[in-house]
Amino acid sequence: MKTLCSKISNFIKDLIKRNQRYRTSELSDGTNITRPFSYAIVIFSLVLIVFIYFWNMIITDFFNRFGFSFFVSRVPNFFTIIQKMVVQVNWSYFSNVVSPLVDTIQISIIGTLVGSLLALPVAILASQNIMGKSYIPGITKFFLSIIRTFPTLVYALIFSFIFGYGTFIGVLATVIFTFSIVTKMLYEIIEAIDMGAFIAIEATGATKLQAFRAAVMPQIIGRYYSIILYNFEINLRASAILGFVNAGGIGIIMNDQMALQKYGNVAVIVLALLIVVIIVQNLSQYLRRRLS
Amino acid sequence: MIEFQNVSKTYPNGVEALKNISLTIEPGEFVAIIGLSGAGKSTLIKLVNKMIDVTEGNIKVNDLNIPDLKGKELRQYRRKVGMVFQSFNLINRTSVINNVLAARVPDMNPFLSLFGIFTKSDKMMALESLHKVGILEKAYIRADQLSGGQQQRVALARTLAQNPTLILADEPVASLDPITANQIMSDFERINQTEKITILVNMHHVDLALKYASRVIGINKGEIVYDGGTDDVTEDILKTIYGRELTDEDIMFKDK
Amino acid sequence: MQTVLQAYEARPRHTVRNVLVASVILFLTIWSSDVINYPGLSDNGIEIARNIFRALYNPTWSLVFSLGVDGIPFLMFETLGIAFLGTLLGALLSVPFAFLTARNIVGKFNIIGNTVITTIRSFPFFLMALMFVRVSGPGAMTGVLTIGVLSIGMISKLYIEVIEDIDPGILMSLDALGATKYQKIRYGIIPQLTASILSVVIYRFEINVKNATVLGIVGAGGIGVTLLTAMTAGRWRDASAALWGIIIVVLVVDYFSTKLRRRLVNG
Repeated sequence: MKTLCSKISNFIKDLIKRNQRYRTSELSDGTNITRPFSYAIVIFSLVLIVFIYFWNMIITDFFNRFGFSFFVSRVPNFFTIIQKMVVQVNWSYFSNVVSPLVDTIQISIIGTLVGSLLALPVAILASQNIMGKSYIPGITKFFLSIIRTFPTLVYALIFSFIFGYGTFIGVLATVIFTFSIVTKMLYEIIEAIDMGAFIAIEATGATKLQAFRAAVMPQIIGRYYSIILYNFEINLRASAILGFVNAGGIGIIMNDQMALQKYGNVAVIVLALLIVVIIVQNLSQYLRRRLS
Repeated sequence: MIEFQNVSKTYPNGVEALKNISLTIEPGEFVAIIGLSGAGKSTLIKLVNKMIDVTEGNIKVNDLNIPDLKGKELRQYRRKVGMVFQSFNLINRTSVINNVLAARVPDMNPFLSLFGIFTKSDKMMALESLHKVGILEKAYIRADQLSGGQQQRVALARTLAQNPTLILADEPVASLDPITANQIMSDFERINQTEKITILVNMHHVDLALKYASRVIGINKGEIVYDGGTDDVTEDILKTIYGRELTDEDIMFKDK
Repeated sequence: MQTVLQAYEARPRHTVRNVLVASVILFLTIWSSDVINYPGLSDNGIEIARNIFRALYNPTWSLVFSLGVDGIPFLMFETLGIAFLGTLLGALLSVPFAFLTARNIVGKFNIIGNTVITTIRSFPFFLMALMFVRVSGPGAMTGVLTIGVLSIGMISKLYIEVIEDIDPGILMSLDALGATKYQKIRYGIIPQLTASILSVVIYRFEINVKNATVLGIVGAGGIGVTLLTAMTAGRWRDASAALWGIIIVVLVVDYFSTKLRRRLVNG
């Protein structure tokens, strides 16, 4: 047993020495230079192994069950749907789209505003440099990371069993999701600011909160508005999906029309959403540029 | 009145910054603390408004025991103590007047201070403070657009807006050029005489200290080696304080 | 030199702008508030809430530790696999899209590419999943395809940025020493890109893991399926097991992804 262990360790040592010799070059005047060990190969092989594992798990399994030719024959379905959507566009359906679309926008507005407002005090609690020698930031960040693991739809799903049908669920889910992201963005900013002014104001007898308001807020307010706008964009796209769990908005009719295979109507819904998203994106870009 | 009673300060990393310091400063004095970097000057100043804590001994300011202060009492005490830093520590992205108004925040209604709504009297007082240091016309300009000397004046105005009885200054002119440094030191002198505010400055430029302060405390390796009037300071005394001959770094105006 | 009073009177006033902005925001908030119509609790709402809460610290342990096809570990791996393969697919598909939309390659025609990419980005992702279900049925494969196509949005944007920002200086010096086009790409372009590409791909992977958990709710495989079926059937403890699976995997992926990306940025 002992000889086996020593044989193995010798083997490994030999490998390391060989690798080092491989990486070392001798120059014309006798100096040696060793280039550093490149992790690239190791990482690449690891990724390759992972890739093969997953490929096997999902892709090969799929083709085993359904056959490759079957799959190929079905691929056109995707493009047929797109084609039908474009060709059979049903403009008259637009009137049915307006109301749910408005709901979606409203859910995003309220969800983003409320979530972002609640995020600020909690982000302060999570910032180590403001709170000083306290264990509160650590605990806060931990709980925030757990809340952050769920996308909006998961919260909406859970709430749909407690509260019943309606946009209220969508708002609640959006608030929690926005809260979870904005807190992280904020505390990352707060922890990176210059503390000089904060210390100075504290030295004048202000409380931590007052010093924060006077010295830190001016430094972060521009980025805060920017974060709110960015999250509004994200939430707009996410709220479209909420309808799937009956949480209100445009998702409901999208789901219904899709199930009825009325692609013409689906096309109008997608188009309406697209237009709103593009408008909001451009507006948001313009505002965010003015803010910096 | 400031009293240090056998104060010692040892930092967590073992450095003994101050050893058994005792001194008394009367109201209205202009005191300069001089010595090598690392001698303990900065530590001494920061102990006065409890930015750091003593390891041993007691500090009394007007019958208050500083080491015992905490929470609201500490904040109330600090209202009356202004502090000026070497790096100015201004709020760069806002205007000069907002910087001075920040000193009024602790006295304000918490709700109003949250939204940054200042009363006319607050604003007038801030403007008065700026006027006293001579930069009234810069009131609405963004703080980071000013020169170093002007920024330090804003910091000074900020402390004046607190209506302090004592102003502490930690290397206030170390980042400034000689002419501006002279201006700031003479500002300190003027404030000391017209507003009757006690001034405690620590600095490493000997000539400026001797020119403006009335009393000098020399610190070497954590101990007071000289405590007396500026006029009585000789070159030998300076050598005891610095432990060596003076070099160019210790003097602001090199051609003297 | 002004007097203090004159300075006070001369203070800049932004009242009009501030009032305007405040009113717009106030208006939007009030207009949107009719969406907060509290619908009351559903039947047994409170009981369900209590059950869910209790289930959170008492998930179905057998599922959590089971190594079978319906066990949480397998499902989480499947979800990771969907995200992984999907991200790779997206990284691959984005290449042609990016080259056809970069301004220094197609000039003014980039507006076509831009529109296509924006459409993909704004396309509601579960609609895409529903469309792919018509191709590969409900299951993990659909998830891979959906995530692949959706990732094109973010990744091709990055490729475009990188392509448009190529430092021509390096290309010029390579030209000067007589390199071929292939060599120029291999030694001039690729080293500049690897770090930023990897960083964005890892970031997208992180997002895709979260998306993949949700896709199951729409029927595209992974742990979302279990979550949905368990909750609809009222098996709260099973659902809780699924939730914990999600929490752990997402936390782990987040941690490593942040660490990796920091190493990449700092060299």
